[in-house]
Amino acid sequence: MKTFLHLFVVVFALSLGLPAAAQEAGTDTVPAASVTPTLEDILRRQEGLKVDDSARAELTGQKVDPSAASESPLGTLGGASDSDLWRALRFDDGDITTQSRSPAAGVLVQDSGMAWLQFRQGPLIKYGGYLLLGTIALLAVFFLIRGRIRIDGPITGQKILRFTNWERFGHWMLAGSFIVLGITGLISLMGRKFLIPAFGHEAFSTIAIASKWVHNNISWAFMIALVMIFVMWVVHNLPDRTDLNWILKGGGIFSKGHPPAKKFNAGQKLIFWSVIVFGVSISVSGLSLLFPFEINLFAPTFAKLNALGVPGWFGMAPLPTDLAPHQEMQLSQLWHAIVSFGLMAIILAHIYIGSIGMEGAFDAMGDGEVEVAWAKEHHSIWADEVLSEKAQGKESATPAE
Amino acid sequence: MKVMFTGFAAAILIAVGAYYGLHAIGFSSADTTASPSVRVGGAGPEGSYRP
Repeated sequence: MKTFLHLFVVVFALSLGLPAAAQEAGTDTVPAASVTPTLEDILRRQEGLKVDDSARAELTGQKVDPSAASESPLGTLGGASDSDLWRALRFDDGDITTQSRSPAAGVLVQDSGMAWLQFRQGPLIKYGGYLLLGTIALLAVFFLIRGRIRIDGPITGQKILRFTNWERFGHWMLAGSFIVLGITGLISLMGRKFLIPAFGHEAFSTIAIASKWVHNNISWAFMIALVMIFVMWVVHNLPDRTDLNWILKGGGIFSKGHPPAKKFNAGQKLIFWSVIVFGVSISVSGLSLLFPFEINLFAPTFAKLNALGVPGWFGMAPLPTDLAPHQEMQLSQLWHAIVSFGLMAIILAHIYIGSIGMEGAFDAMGDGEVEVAWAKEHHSIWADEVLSEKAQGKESATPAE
Repeated sequence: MKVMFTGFAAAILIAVGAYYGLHAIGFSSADTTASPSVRVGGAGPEGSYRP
C-alpha cells in the first residue's frame, strides 16, 4: 500500500511537472502574441476590413509552430504540426507543384482579390459613371449656352474633299468598334449592379455572354483601325505654331472669327493623341486580359517606376513588384476600365462636336466633302492649300491653244 | 455614308474572323490552360455522366 502511495505521488508530481517543462521548452517557438491572429483579426477579416498580417507572413519558412516542441504523437504529422505549410499557402510562399499548365495554378490563396472586387464594384462604377454622366450634362449645358456652331459665310454648295475613302473607312471602323466596346464593357462592369435587378439573372446571363464574346472579338477591329488612323494622320497631327494661337483664342468657340488652322486644329490634335495614347494603353491592357497570365505588365512597370524613385515623389512606399498572376490580371482590368472611362468621356465630346455641336462638321466624315465656307472658317490654311492645288490642277488641265 | 457602313461591316467581319482564327490556331482558354489528356467542353463518350 505504501509502495502504491509512493508511486501515486510520483505519477501525480510528474503529471503536474511535465506540461510545465514542455511549455518552457516550447517558449522559443511559440509566436509572439502580436503575431498570433486574435479574435478581433478574425472579425475584421469576416467584415472584409484590412488586417495587418505582415508579421505573420514573415514567419513563413521559419518553422515557427506552436506544437513543434511538444513531441506529441497525436497529430497527423506526429509531433510536428503543419501550420508552417498552411502559413506558406496562406501567404503564397509555398513550393507548389501542379499538373495544371495554367501559370496561376500554383497560387492557392491570394490576398488582393477582395480589394480588387470592392474597388471594381464600388469607386470604379461610381466615379466612372459620374464621369460619363457629368460629361453628357456638361455638353448639354454647353449646347444650351452656345447653341450649334453655325457656318458664318454663305453656303454656296461648292465642296472640297476633306477625307478620302480610306481615311473615313479607318475612322468608322475605329468609331464603330469603340462604341460597341464601350457599351459591352459597361455591361460587363455595371450589369451585375444595374441589369440583374432590372432583367433578372437568366436574361443577364445571356446578355453578359454575348457582351463578352463581342467585346473580346471586336477588339481586334479596334486595334487594326487604331494602327490605320495613326499611320494616315500622324503627320497632320504633329504640334506646330498655329496650335498655340488656336489654343490662346480658345478655338474661337466663344469669340467672333476663327483662328487659322491646318488640316487638324489643336483641339482635334488633342483628340487624336488622346485616342492614340489611351487607345494603345487600353489595347495593351486588353491584350493581357485576352490572353490571361501570358502578358504581365505591372510588375515590370512598377520595378521601373521604383528604380526612378517615382513613388517617393508622392511620399509613397515603393510599389510592389512581387505580384501574383491574379494580381497582374486584376490591375490590368482596373487600368483597362479607368483609361477606357477617360477615353469614353473624351469621345463623347468628340461625337458632340462632330454631329449636333457644329454645322457642316459631319459631312467631313459622312461623304467626305465639306462646304468651302466651312473649310475656310475652321481650317483656313488647309482650305487655301486645297483650293490653290485645285486651281493649279485646273490650269494645268486646260489644253494649250 | 457608304464608307461608314463598310467600316462597321469590316469591324464585324474582323470580330467573327478573330473568333474562328484564334480557335483554329489553338488560342482558346481551354486549349492554353488544359493538357491534351483533359477533355474540356466535349460531349464525351456515350453513357458518360451528364449532370
